[in-house]
Amino acid sequence: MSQILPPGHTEASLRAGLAAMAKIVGDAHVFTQPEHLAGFRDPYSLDAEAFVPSAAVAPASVQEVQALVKAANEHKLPLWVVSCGRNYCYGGAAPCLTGAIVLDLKRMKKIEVNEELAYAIVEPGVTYFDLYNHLQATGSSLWIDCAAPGWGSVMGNALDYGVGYTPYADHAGFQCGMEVVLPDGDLMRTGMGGIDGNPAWGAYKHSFGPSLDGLFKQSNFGVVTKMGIWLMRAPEMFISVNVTVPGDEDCIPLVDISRELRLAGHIQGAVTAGNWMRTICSRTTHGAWAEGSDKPLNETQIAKLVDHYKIGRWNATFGLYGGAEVTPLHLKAVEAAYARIPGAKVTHTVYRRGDKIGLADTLSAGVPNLLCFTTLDWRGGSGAHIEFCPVLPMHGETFYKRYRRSLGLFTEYGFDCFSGVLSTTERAAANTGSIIFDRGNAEQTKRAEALFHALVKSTEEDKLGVYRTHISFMDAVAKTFDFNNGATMRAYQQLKDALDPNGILSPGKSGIWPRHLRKARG
Amino acid sequence: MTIRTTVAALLAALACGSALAQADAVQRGEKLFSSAHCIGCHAATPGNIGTMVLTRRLGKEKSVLAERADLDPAFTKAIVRHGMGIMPGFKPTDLSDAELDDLAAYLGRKR
Repeated sequence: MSQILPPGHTEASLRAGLAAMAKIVGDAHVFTQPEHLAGFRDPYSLDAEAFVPSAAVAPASVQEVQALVKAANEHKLPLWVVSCGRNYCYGGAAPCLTGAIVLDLKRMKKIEVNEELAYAIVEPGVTYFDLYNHLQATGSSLWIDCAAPGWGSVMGNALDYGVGYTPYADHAGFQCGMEVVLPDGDLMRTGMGGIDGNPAWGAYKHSFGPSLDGLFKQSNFGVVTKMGIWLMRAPEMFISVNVTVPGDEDCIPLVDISRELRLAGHIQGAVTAGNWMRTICSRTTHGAWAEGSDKPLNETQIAKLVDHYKIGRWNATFGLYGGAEVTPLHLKAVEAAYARIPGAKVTHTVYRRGDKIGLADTLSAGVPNLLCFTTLDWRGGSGAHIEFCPVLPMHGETFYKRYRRSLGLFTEYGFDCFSGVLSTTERAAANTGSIIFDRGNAEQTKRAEALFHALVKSTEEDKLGVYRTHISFMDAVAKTFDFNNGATMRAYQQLKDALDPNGILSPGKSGIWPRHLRKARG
Repeated sequence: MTIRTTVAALLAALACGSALAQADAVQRGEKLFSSAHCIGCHAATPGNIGTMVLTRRLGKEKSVLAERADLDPAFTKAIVRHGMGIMPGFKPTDLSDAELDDLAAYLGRKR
């Protein structure tokens, strides 16, 4: 196998750069062998030979990160920054630019917890499991809010606008303070961290002057080496609630009522709703219901499946959190509100502080797991998925209209429509959509890619924006932000050119390319 | 003591040392199986995708990795690094080569 090279480099120039990096981190933490680089490829890629790194390097400290960034500038080597590199449905550790060197921050695993003010400062390599286990081991009264799956990076997920399931589900929104290595190797801290030793760095989000935290989310303007994240005080009572509604159109009142309950403060946690496919695909397979057909399930087959598993056409889950006296009152309000939907069923489970949380409720209680992968066997073979998640206002009719459009496209391209509402704030939701396919089936993989492009085009027409996307589609999604002929991207490019003139940090992230590679991208 | 006896004693000591080293590797590997997230997908309890898929593909008797007696260490190491099907590959920053050797020793242990 021939050596993958960064654009404009020879084997000799790459080797020289890697030798400089090995002097910083040690030979053992520079990876060039194929068996080591295999894990830095995208396991669910639409094209197995795309997005391949030339090498990977793993620093252990912020000082090593600074030195590596300086070396990358000196040798003009592109780096692709990952925290733990486990964002699998969006590309994992694989770089946008083939030949980039992955800067793997997994070895940086420091955790500091402020129990009184309820926050933690974490380094990039801290996973949800790590932070949860740390809090358990120290007898903390704090809960985390975790994404699914729990082996992902707390920081990496928040910086990519990832989400969870408790009242702290908006991970980027509960970020407070950062330490950042800038593309020239300089080190800065945002917010009150701009004062050395300031005691409010993890407690107060703003700065004096412009707050720069947003510049380092979903971006390639710096390497975040520490991040503050607010944590929830363990509630006295947590009630897990499930709502099922019988009809497809019942998602309209389901969404509207959920919004009002959130705005009224009765529901504090994220509302997660899904159609039949999102609800059940983790427990069964397409093949079990399709009667030998490769096509999406038809209405008769869906009705049989829904009846068998006793689920609704739409199903919502969320948590209620708070004191033991007031939380049951919120439950009363919740039950009364959803009862307005004919045929709706509301069930709940009550947990008091210290109770063991049931498996189905673990994410809503900040207990990490790896259960989400069970959806991937829906089509059998080498199960893979691409996520397509436009942001919608939390408005029932708008959501249903978007859902019907997506349903039409999924069906046209031969896939069952996985559709969900993930409302981490009161006013908007990500319309989660998963294209689950068998990566070992070339024809199916091609259709999955075509479906994704069709979905992007349809959101462009509907004037909707996608909140995160796979490295394959970052350019396509970035182009949909068309206000004033792409003014947003022009602003990003100005920032990129000013902060990173050599273009060494994560070229292509969110469609932001350095000047020397921009023309080729069009 | 004859030369033969001395050599036999030395070989026995080496074998004993090797067996102890192997036992240590298996013990470390068992800890890694829990802490390196293998158990999150490969436990015997419901909801574990690894066990679920192996049941569907190979049958119940081959579905729980920690209970199998046919996992060749070289095969285990290749699957862990390169992934297979739904399972992604694990990077050297997730599991070092030495840790992978221990994990493979645990899963390949004689029972």
